Amino acid sequence: MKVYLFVLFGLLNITSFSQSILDKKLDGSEKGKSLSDLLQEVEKTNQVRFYFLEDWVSEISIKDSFQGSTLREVLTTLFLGSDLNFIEASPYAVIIVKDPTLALQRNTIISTAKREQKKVNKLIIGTFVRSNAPKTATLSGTIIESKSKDPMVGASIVATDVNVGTVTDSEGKFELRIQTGSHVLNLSYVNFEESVIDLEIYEDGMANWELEEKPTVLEEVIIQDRSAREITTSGIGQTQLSLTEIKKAPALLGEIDLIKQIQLLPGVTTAGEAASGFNVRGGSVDQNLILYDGMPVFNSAHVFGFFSAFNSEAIRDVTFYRGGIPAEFGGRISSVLDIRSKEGSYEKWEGSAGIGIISSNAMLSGPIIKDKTSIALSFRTTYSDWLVNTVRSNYVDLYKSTVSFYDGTAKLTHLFSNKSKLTLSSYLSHDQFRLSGDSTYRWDTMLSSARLDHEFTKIFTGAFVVGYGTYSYDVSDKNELTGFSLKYKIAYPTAKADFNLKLSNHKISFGVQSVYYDFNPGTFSPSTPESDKKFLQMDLQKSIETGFHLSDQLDFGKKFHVDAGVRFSLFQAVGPSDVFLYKSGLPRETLNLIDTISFASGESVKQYFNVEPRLGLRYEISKDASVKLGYNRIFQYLHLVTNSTAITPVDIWQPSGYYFKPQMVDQFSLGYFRNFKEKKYEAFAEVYYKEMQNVLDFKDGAQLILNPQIETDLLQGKARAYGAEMQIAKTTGRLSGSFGYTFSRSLRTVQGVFPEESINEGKEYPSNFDQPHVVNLSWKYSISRRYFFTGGFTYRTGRPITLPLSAFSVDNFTVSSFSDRNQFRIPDYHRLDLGFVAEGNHKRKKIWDGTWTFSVYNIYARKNPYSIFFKEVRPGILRPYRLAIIGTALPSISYSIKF
Amino acid sequence: MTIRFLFSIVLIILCAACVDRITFDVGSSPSFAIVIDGSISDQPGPYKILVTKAFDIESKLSIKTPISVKRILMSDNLGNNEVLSEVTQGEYQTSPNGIRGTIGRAYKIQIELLDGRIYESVPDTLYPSGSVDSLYHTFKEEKTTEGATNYGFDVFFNSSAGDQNSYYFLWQFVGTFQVETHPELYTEPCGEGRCPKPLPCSSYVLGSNGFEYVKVCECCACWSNLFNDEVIVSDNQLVNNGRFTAVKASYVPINRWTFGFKVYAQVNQMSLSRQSFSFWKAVKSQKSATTSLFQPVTGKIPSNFIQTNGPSGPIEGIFFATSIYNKGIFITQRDIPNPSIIPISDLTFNDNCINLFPNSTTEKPPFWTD
Repeated sequence: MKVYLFVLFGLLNITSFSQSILDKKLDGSEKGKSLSDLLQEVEKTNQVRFYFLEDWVSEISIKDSFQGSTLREVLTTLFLGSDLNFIEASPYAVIIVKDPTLALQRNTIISTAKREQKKVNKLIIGTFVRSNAPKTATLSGTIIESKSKDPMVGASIVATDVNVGTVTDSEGKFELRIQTGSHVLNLSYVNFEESVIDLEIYEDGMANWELEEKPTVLEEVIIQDRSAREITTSGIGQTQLSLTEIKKAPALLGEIDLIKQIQLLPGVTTAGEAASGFNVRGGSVDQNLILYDGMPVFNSAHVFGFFSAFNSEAIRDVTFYRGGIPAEFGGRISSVLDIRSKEGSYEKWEGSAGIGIISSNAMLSGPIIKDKTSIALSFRTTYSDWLVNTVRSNYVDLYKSTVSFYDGTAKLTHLFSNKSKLTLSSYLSHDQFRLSGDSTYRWDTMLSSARLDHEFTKIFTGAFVVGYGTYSYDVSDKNELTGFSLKYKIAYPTAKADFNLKLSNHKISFGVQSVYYDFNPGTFSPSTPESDKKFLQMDLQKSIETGFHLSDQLDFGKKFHVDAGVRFSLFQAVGPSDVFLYKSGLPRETLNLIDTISFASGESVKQYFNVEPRLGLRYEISKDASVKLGYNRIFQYLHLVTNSTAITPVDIWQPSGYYFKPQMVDQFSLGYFRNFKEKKYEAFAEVYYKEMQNVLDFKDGAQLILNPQIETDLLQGKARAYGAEMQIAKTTGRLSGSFGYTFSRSLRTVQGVFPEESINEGKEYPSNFDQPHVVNLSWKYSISRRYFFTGGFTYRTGRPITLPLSAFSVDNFTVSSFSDRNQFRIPDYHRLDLGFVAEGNHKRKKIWDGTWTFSVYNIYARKNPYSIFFKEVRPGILRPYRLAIIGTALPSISYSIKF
Repeated sequence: MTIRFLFSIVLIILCAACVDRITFDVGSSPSFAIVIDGSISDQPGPYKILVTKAFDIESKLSIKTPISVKRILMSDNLGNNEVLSEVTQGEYQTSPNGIRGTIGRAYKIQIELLDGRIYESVPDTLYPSGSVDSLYHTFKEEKTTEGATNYGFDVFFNSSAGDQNSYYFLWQFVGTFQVETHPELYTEPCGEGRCPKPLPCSSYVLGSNGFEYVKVCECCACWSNLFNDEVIVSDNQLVNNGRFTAVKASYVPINRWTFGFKVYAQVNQMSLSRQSFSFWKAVKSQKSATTSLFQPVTGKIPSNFIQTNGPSGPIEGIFFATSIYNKGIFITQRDIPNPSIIPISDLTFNDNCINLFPNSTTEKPPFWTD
């Protein structure tokens, strides 16, 4: 309720004015006078009275000349950001009033925070001087975790009294522009104690804060899109996941998995139970850019997708973009998963170790030179053979197989000064899988990078990265007579430079990035002297992808925020290379080859230059609601060549070139975000429409591995995807949880000139990952502060499949007759998990934190398929079989100790 | 220092993973396609068209069900045509002196089913066959994973496409071997054992004095065929300036059946049009694809039939025009480098040879020389 204090109010002389006194223009003589003096002078020369308390205005002086400005403009300027206002009671009476609402509101927030035992700190920046000083001030700084001192990405800083806020960037830094005066800042981050700042700010300043993790171990089990919580801050389709949040979600066999949590977000699906990779808004798995400390990652999974390739203990934070992708990212058209690893502690040595039934891990971090140089090391390995050996089947390939993997990270950080930081980061991942008496598959990822962060000035910073990455696999068979080895490798040295420039109302980012790709698409050789296999070396493929980006985040007033950018991408396939030419007017097939063009080393084979506009708009309807709009155009120059639905160990990446045009997407998204009942409920709804060009699909019966003329087996077409994503979450109370529903379609059309260059006769068909209905439900019911039930339910429409329907014989050959591409669907996926958590006491000072977790995964034992494959039961007769990895209810008990 | 331990205990009551059959609801009554299998060539007729029905992949037997149709009309692009006659159910043929394939002409068939549906093949042009220039074999010794040794011959050929730019070819391999059986030693159950009962087609009857010779055996000698399990179609890796070199036609195993005498290895080089090549290439792709957990086999086999009348119904198969050039060689026991692996005559073949060897005939082929 607004209360106005009328301090002075008297009888007024009645005199008529043709013009308001407030429209009187000043002549410049007011410069250097106090406001009180100015008003008294005006009273003397005009028939007007100003009613005010001397104390209110005594410190307000006029530093600059207001020549030509009206008195109304002068008062408005001087009172801006203060509690003072003025009322023109009549043409001859102006009353200066003081509105106490803001002060009361601030006091209420602070006293409530103190009552709830939240940390409340006082911060005063500058001194209070009433003047025509800048109407807004900029508060900048960094938020870090209190224990690890790691920067916190995506922490919220909100001035709750005026509902202005921001979030920390990838370095934990923030910048908040706010009216000068008194404010209450609320610092928050999931699973961290909120911190309240009683702020008085009168000029630009800096502040660094630490947030402390909540003492409870399993406080938060709900994974939800945080965009609903960030009505005033985040971009559209952007999600920040804290590792604390991920670690506390239910996990299969206790293995914390980043990718599995991504798969629960609205708009994200997966091909099957435990399948590798993920599909975002109707895109294929290769359309996701996964970055680990800025380096692209080609393989995100261990054991064909059973586990994420990233050790959660080594990850600091994750940002996921599925719409409104910023201009600094390019090269994949569906999403960006930006993973940052932890830095070592600069203060003390710390360690952690985890022993699970599938894998064990260890992490060590600490200072090499205190406050100067730190190191963080992590390692994880497995003993998961038992898992594949539990397969109940006569399919010996599986149940007598062996599986192993390991991964490790190392990160060395050195602070040259508080303006320069050097980071050396490396990541190693290895998998091995051996089918019984058959081939051994090995695949490896190795990433190394050096990053220099430098602050040139307070408003101009830069980051420079050079890195080298490889992804390789090797399939080998040691059979004496038929043994072979197939090797595949991608090497990709990378360099980039990014700059940020902060101006008054703008945040400008620009930079350049270049990656050199060196593909070895396959070396096939005999593995024994007696082997009947012949050596085959596929032509090497080399290409350079370069991107320049420029973007600006700017505010129009308090409510309208624009994030606009553009990326210029240049892709060049270079020699040495042989390009096959085919007869025109005929289908592109091997027999129509007529000539070969040879390109010398370094010679340009094909070049693509594209402009990629990006735009994000946010309009705050109120402090509890906002509308966001996003548009992006992105080009993708690398394509995954596969005829399966998930990522497999023998997938081939094909760069764009003479025959393969880059994929392109135009995505439009519109979202409405709303909080209800003091943020007790958070909800959002988002719709999107995507059009993709030049998506790759394969011809029926395509041979993809070791095919020197792979352009004869692949087709490019167009795709469209559309959908609506909705989520509502209840964040507080005894029962909390979230419910998300996504409706989406993902459709493709491949129509060529010739029948063999079309799929389904050129008609539109569902893509492999078209799953129209997805429901995710998760909840937590607290019996007390220490005991609670948790659960989660997932439902997804079964993905499309092409089936053998019948068989027939021609000329003594029996073959299966297949349906149209993706005409049928595998059974729907659904699963219910339940858990019970008993935490230790919540005292801050205790020897250790112990938590019991009882959970049952897949409680009603549904056999959700990991894979549907066909076995040849008789010559030419194919029948579908299902491999269900988790075909039963899987109970588990775990006890975790933290001390 | 902070140390965090995580201990997990999982109670797995049942095995977690399993592979099992899965069936899909593909409609209440899936209608199985009509399958056409036939061709016309530049060789003398009659030309056969087989009409069958596709069968359920769930059926226990892979049996082609021949079906009769109302009419099959074969025609060329010059207006010549002929109605085929049904020889046995589902098997239709032209008359011996009827229509004959000629290089350069295009041929099609029209099939009218009993329910009124009419299908027509896309006209298919008959291209020259080129020639098979040479045929040869190499002895092959191969160890199995079980430790045994298999012996046989790989048969290769060199051929040329002739004076044309079209390299679309299909190669058929037909191996023919002679087998000798002893139907006079045929036995029948009697009492607790088996008693001799020479078959009537054998040379002997069982008289009071034992076996008595009565006539020349009618079912002792058979000529049986070996086919290649793989479809061989032209491949860019095989062709160089219109010449196909060292193309493997088939593998002929050495065993007591095939090399009781000798084997006649014949390769038929058949010209194809682009559309019939697409069909055979798709068959080859499906036959040679290896199914795995990661990459399921898929692939429609593109029929060259379109429906022109009647209620909608599926159709599979092909009718194509081809020119055929064939060449054959004998592979004899003398080609086997190690005499110890030459099989010895087997008296356990004591039945009618046609019963023992499917795809066989008691009629000596014209190319067979003793």
